[in-house]
Amino acid sequence: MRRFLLFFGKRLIFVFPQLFGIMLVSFLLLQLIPGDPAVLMAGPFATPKVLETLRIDLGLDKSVAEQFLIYFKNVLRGDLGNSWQTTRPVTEDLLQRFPATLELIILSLTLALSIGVPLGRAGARLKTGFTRKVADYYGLFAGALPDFWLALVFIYIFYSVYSLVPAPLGRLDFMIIPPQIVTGSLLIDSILDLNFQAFKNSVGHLVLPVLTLGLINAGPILKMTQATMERMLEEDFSKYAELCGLPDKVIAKKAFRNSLPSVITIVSVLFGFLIGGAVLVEIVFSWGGAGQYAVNGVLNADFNPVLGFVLISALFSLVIYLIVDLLYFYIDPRTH
Amino acid sequence: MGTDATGMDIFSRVLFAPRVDLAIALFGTSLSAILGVFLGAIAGYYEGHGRLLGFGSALIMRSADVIQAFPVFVFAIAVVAVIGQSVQSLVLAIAFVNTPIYLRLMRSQCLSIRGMRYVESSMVSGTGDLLIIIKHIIPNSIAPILAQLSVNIGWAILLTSALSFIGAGVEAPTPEWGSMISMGFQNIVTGHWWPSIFPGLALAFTVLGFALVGSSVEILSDPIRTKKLLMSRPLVGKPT
Amino acid sequence: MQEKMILSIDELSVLFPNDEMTSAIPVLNKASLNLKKGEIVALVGESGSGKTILSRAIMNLIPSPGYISDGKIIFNELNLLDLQREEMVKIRGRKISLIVSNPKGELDPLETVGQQICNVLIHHLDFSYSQAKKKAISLLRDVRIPDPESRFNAFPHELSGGMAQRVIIAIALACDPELIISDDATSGLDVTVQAQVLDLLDKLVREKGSSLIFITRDLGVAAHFADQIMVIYKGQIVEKNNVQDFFKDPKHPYSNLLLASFSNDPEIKKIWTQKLSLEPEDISIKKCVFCDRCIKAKPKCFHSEPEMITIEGDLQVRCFNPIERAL
Repeated sequence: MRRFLLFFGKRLIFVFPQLFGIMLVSFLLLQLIPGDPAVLMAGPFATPKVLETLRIDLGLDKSVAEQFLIYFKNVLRGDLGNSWQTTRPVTEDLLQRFPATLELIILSLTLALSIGVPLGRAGARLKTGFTRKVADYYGLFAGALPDFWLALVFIYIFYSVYSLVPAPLGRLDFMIIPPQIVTGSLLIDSILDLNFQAFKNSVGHLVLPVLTLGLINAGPILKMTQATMERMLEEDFSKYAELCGLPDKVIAKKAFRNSLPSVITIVSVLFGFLIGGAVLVEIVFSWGGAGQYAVNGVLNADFNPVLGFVLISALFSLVIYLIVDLLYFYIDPRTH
Repeated sequence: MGTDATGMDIFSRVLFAPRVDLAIALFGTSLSAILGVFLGAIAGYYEGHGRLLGFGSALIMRSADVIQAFPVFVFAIAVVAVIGQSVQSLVLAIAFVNTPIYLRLMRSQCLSIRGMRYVESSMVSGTGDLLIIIKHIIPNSIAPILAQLSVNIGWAILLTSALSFIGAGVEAPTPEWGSMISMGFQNIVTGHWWPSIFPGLALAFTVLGFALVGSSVEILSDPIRTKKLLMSRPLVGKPT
Repeated sequence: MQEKMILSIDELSVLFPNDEMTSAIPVLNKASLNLKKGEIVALVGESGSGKTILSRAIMNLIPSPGYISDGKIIFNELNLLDLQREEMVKIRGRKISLIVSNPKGELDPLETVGQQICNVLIHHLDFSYSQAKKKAISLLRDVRIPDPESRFNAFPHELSGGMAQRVIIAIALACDPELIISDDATSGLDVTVQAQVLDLLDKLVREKGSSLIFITRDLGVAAHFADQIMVIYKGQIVEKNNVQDFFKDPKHPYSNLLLASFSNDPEIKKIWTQKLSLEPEDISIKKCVFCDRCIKAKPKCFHSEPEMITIEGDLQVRCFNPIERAL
């Protein structure tokens, strides 16, 4: 137990310098952007007076180092500036949008795991046969399909042709009363609120985007699981288990357990990627997620949202890698 | 394949589009590969050295860490936004985003080859560092990098299309699969599927092709796996 | 009285196709052996002689692309090569078990050693987990691992080589098998640990009355506790005898070469190791496997294969000119 806390503590300490590094780089990137930073933050419709006030607040007349200090202090206070497009603090905007993205990512990866892992396992055990072919081709195709295109295909089939799901506009139909926000996840909040109308409706809206991201991300998970399991089945301990006359199921279980670190790695990489990478699906479904928010910021020269998003998603990535390291520690006794 | 909303013929545009995508992907990926291999070789070779070189190696790695901590997609869009929308900025965006991958790959190859006996003996006999890198390390690292390159090109095409889809990439009316899909977007809902579906299919198959090439390179570069592949032919004699 | 034969291998041949798939190399070439119940037989040979493949053949687990091309393996009046996979799985680890070398590499790194012993008990003997745990701890005690209750929860990487080897022995003995095969179980261990492990094996096998095939490259170890000794060369068994008579009077030229290699007398060494075989192997020509290195080879040896002949009692030799010692 003590070793665990030591390990955890050490890793936690490293998070802070990494965060600092990211803040520094983000800030420097800001400096690189051509144009008046005040305009970038206040928008093209700001009056000269507003711009003047902004310049003083941000210390744009002072040295770079002092500007960074101001920026740093603001971030620590939770002030990420305002978005001139939504006219609200970025922090508020993100607090509303991040849960939407997270709900999407978590559900999609869960689906991806439940498709990718069993198929990968089966593919590794069977050298030939139908299942193996399915696994091989699925892995190949899923990585090649563009997610935004697949989303459109699904919309066409399930909405335009068969009308099985509600219109792809956001997370909830206009007419439905939304539940009280507790976690930000519509599924959880509507259950907590006993608002079953909202629950049913949000599920309907979730189906297609989760299906899209889940099916596509199952590909890399499948490939990683299959490749690692195949390697494990060639290892000495698997051959020895065969010599001991242990049944195939037991040998497969051992091999899979030894493959877990790789599976965890790929899931964490996908998670980190999807925070920004789910943008396309978010756009197609008008999801109102964080990635979409950032992209709009870039395209319209609204800078604070972009900066805020980059910072928060970097923070998330770091947290995920920390959790992953803890999981490795837990699974593999050799790290103790 | 019919025409799209503006009356342009889809088939010819689908056929013509890859020229742009491919060029961007090829240039961007090659750039990132060259840069990444160079930096990665330095980082790997001088890892653990004292003084300046060791510090340089650590600096390279930490910089790669920071770049990779940024969300890939948003980073790419940011690069395009900063430099301005053009083919060059897309190439640069792809290069930026992919360099850390080759950097890490090259570094880990470097570390493992550096420890091998024949390299040690080279070092002891006084061969200069640069020569060692060129003669020993790079040739032995080529295979996984080539495999990665192929898959990467496919992925870079996807990225370019994605950027074009949201309007941050190649501008209309230049034919480009991503922007074609985006133009056909609204029509999906009304049931006109062809402006969007065909470009997407073409995109998928192209990326698939590159992935297949990449996996073949991977298998052929490993003699053990090549043997296994060849052995799935019928055996001589009576198998059990 | 004819004692019961527990294992009878009859003209077993194992082939491995070459890289181009044009021909196949015999790794085992009409190998035969007979093992009585309760007997300890040492199988001695150099690297590449086919000893390990023989052990894997008995388990019918030849690594691909190798395959068994001919022969019978009769175990308790049953030809193992006729069995279906499911039936063979029930025999491995239960009636016939294998002690491997490189123990730490063969144990699952993510499971405790206790759990790995329990695995065979649970799956072969239908033990419950608590029954298996009790038996596993007593097995750990039998193989002289100190503090077995807490060692039960140890992981393979936490053990030394010698202790890991004892765990492998415990797993091999767990289901009271009738036949144990030890494949180079003591190479790679320190000499003192080697001696301990050998003593342990000796004691446990004799207590349970199991039969043991002890595969080794080390003649000294073979002399230590085997009843019978078999010499294998290039996939063929070339001599078999009881241990005392073998060391007094080895008949096959190769056996003499082996003993000479261990000799302290440089003259003897020189005599027997004169001929080095450097020509590539042409497997299509029928000849004695040893003729290229044999200082007693006659023209006949290069044109025909000698059969295994029982000379008297335990002694069997595969040679046209077995060595006669002047008494």
